This record gives sequence, C-alpha cells and structure tokens, in this order.
Amino acid sequence: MVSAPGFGVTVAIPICQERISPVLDTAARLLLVIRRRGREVTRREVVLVPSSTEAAARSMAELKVDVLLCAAVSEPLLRALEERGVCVRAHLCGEVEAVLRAYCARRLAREEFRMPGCWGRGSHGGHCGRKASRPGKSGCKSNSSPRSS
Amino acid sequence: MPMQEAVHNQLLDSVPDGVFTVDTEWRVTFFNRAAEQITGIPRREALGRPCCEVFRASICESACALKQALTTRRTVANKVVYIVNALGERIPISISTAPLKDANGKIIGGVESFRDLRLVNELRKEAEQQDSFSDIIGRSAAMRQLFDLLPAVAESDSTVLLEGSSGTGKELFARALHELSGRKSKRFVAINCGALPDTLLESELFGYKAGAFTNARKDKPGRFALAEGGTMLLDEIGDISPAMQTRLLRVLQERVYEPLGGVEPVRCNVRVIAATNKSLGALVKEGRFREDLYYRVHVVRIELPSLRERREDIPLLIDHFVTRFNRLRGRDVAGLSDGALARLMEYDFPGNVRELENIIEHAFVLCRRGLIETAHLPPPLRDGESGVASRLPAGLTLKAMEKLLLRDALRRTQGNRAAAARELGIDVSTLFRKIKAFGLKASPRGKAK
Repeated sequence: MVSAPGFGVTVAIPICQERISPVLDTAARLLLVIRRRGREVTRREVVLVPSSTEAAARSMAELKVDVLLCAAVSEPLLRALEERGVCVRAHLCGEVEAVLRAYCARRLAREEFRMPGCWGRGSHGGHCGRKASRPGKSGCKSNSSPRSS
Repeated sequence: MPMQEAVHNQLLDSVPDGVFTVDTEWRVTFFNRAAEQITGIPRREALGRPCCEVFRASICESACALKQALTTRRTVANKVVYIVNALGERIPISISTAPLKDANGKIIGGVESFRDLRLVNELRKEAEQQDSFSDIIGRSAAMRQLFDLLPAVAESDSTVLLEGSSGTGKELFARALHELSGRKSKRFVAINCGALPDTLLESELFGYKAGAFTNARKDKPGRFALAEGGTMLLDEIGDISPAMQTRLLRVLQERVYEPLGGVEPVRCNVRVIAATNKSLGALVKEGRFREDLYYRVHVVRIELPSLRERREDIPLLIDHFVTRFNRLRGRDVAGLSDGALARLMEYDFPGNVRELENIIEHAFVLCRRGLIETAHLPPPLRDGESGVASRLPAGLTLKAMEKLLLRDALRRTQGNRAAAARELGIDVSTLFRKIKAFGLKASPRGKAK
C-alpha cells in the first residue's frame, strides 16, 4: 500500500524523460510521491499498462493517488478519475522536480508550468475552460493543498 | 518577415490540413491556421514550445513520428493516431512527417501535417447510411435489389422462405422483415430447427401441458405462444423430420396447434419466416421434404447472395466490422492495409459474412492500433496466396487457364452449373458450351474432371 489514509498525501505525476508526460492517457510511467507534514516521506515509480479509460482510472484509485499532476488528459479519463476521488491538476508542464517543488510551494499557477492553449480563458486550476474538479465529489480542495501535509 | 516566407505562410494557412514545423530542439517554429483549429491552441502560444506540449498526440511519448522522420531521414505517411485537444477531446487524426533540410542537405528540423479524421468519419457514416438497410450492409446490385424488395415483403404478412448459404445473414433479414412489418411491437422469436431432436423441437415449438411427460410439473408455453402476434423464424427448416413437417404443415394451413399432452387446439397468429441453407426445391425432388409444406413456406422466396457473389461489399463490411470492434474493445484500429485488403478481396469466403467477421475479430486480437496487416490475418490467409489465379501454375495458356477456372468453379459449386455460371459472370448456355468444348464433366457431386 502506498499511503495510509489520514497520514499523508500521495501525489502522482506521469513522467517521460524527467518531464511531465505530455498525454496522461498514454503515459507509460507514473511517479508516486508520499508527503507527510510538508515533507516527502517516500517515492516510487510504477509502470502504467496500456488499458481502457475505466481501467486506467481504477488502477490510479487502487494506487491510492490523492493528487494527480499531469499535462493533457482526455475528458473521459478526467471524469473517471474525479469520480474515483482523485484530484486532478491538469495542463501542467515542465521538469518533474520543478513541478513537485512548485506544487509544495503552491506556485503551480506560474506561467512556466502552464501548457499552451489551456489557460487565460478565465479558467482556474488548469481545466482549460472545462468543468473544474468538484470539491465535494473529487475530494480536491479548492487550492489543492496536500492533506495533512 | 521576408516576402517569400510570408507567401509560404499564407499558402499554408489556406490549406485544410494542420501543419507545423519544429527545429532540432523540437520547438514549434510554425503553426498554421488549421493546426490552431484542430488542436484548439492559438499560434502565439504554440510557437517556441516543445511540440509534444502543443500537439499532445498518443504517440508523442512512445513513437514520435517526427523523431522517426528526422532519425531515418525518411517521410512517415498517413499514420493514424489521436490527439487530446485543448478541450480534452480525443481527435482521431492522420499524420505525415518529413525532415526539413537546408540548401546543403543538413537537417534543420521537421514538418508535420495532420488531418482531422472526424470529418472523414462523418462523411463515411453518411455514406454508410446509404449503404445499409436495417443493419444489413451492402451496396452491390444484388443487395440493393433485396433492399428494394424488403418493405413490400414485410408489409405483406405472407410466409417467407429465405434461402442462402451459412453466414449470409438469414436471421438479419428475418429480423428486418419483422421490424418493418406491422408486427414489430410484438416479439420476434427464432429457433434453429436443425439443432434439436424431434421430441425437444416439438415441445419447444408448441409447449406442453403439465403431466405430458415425466417432470412436466406445470404448463410450459412454446415458441409459437411466445411469438403470438409477432414473427417466428424457423431456421434450418430443411433439416426437420417428416413427422415434424406434418405438424408444421397443420400450423401453417390451419393456424392451430396442440401443445404436447394437450387436447384442445390452440389458435395462433404468428407470421412464419422459414430459412434454410439448402435448396428446398431439390429436397422436394429427392423426396426428403413434403411438397405441400414446401408450397406453404414458398409464398415469397428470397435468395440471399453469398459474399463471393457480391465482392464489392467486402470493403464496406470490413469498415463496418472494424468500427464495431473498435467501439466494443476501445481500440483505434484504422482499417486494413492494401495488402491485407487485396488478400481478402480474392478470398472466396465459404463462411460468408460471418467468416469475414471472424477474420476481422482474429485480426483485432493481434493488431492493437494502426492498420491491420496481412500478418494479422488468420494463417490460411496469411501464409499462402488464397486466390485461384495465384494457385495457377506459371506458363499456362489463356485456354488452359480458362479450363482450370471453370473446373474450379464447378468443384466449388458442387457441380451446380447455374451457380458456377453466376460465379464466373457468364451465361449458363456459355458455360455449357465451354464445358463441352473443354471436355469437362461435371458430376452431380461436383467432381469436375
């Protein structure tokens, strides 16, 4: 088990050559970082097997991912993840470590981490004018701050 | 901006396909108007960014086509993938890439063009609607004639005899007749008469009363009762026993039947559609099928063409099955390669449309995306040449070749000269003349010598 509920937050990032993978739907590797009380406790990498949208969302939920930081994601996968309580921060780009640091410092909204085309349309949280995560349903807090961290 | 470059940009902005270029660092250096529309990303935001962050294709991470073009210095053409646009929609596209070189032949970047396949798919759907009738696919002359016939036959409420080889879609036609008839609000019930022994078939068709036999503790309605007011398909009617033929004759003549163990006749209002893969006329001649029952079911006779008699429908059917399996299995297989399609076009399909469906299903097991290649087809189609022409020895004269083709057709149609002539696309009298001229003998069992 990756994280014990109530004791930390599991942040997941699909990775490709030390950067965020461009498309979550086809990502092959996932970095899982467990943070507790503002500190990184442990991290590991898992291989994502190509599968259907539902199966991909199910495996993320089974990995107990709380927050998913990703680049492009298709609407069906985004919906399936949110329905399973995963908080998705989409349309991010950049080097994995820099994104992780920005996430911890709540600086993800900076220009350098924004994918082109999906920001500046009055949208918040990188949802590209698409329906934002519903806090009640997805467990995504308004500022996406890590739980118990 | 130099004049020439401005003209190039204007030209590229006017084409309907998306076009973008990258430098050797994979940063976008040009992004045309169609690319903006398809991806949903404005040019000003795309320029200077890594192409994978702009393009977001399913192959960016695993099999970048631009990288392939730059590495191999060769063009990549018509690769089918999908992108995730700015709205999170998966857009199926076809991409082509090529390296960009300077005057000295040094690679300075790459160019990628892509076409939104949604429009192509929409056009195809429209065309498909014109090429189908109640789930039956076909645009051949033979199928069009049947499509024209169906509404009138469906309306008539007459008993219909469907004749056709296995896999030609007899049940599909029977369902279409039911759906187009005034009985469509009632049930369509199908039963394969050839699959059940007599006693079981009788209880299945007519039902039984409690106490009719051991373990018959309560009444059980038969298929005729279930289909009351609707339509009943009696499939493989040519396989039923003489005793069963007699019972069916009574139902068709008097519209009454008696359940097993029952004493009171039950009236029924069921339209009967009979289907067989044999020639009922021939069975009557052989004394294996009652003549009076034959005339009862032979009110309207529809002969379904085999797939080899309507080869022009093969690509259409392939498209239909590829779309269906893509939807069922969540795949993005684009279709068949030219080689695989050619292999199927020359195959005879003894199992007809059902066999074609199985072949595509087999290919889907081996091919996860892109085009189905010959290697993905079942072994007999994959390993050897399947067509008659390819089996012909080299150096034959035209006359010898014609003789071989005639013999082959007669063997395949089991000596049925009318069917062989139809398959060869010649008149029966021409076939007779040629059989005589070549000294061929077509025995009833089809051993053409």
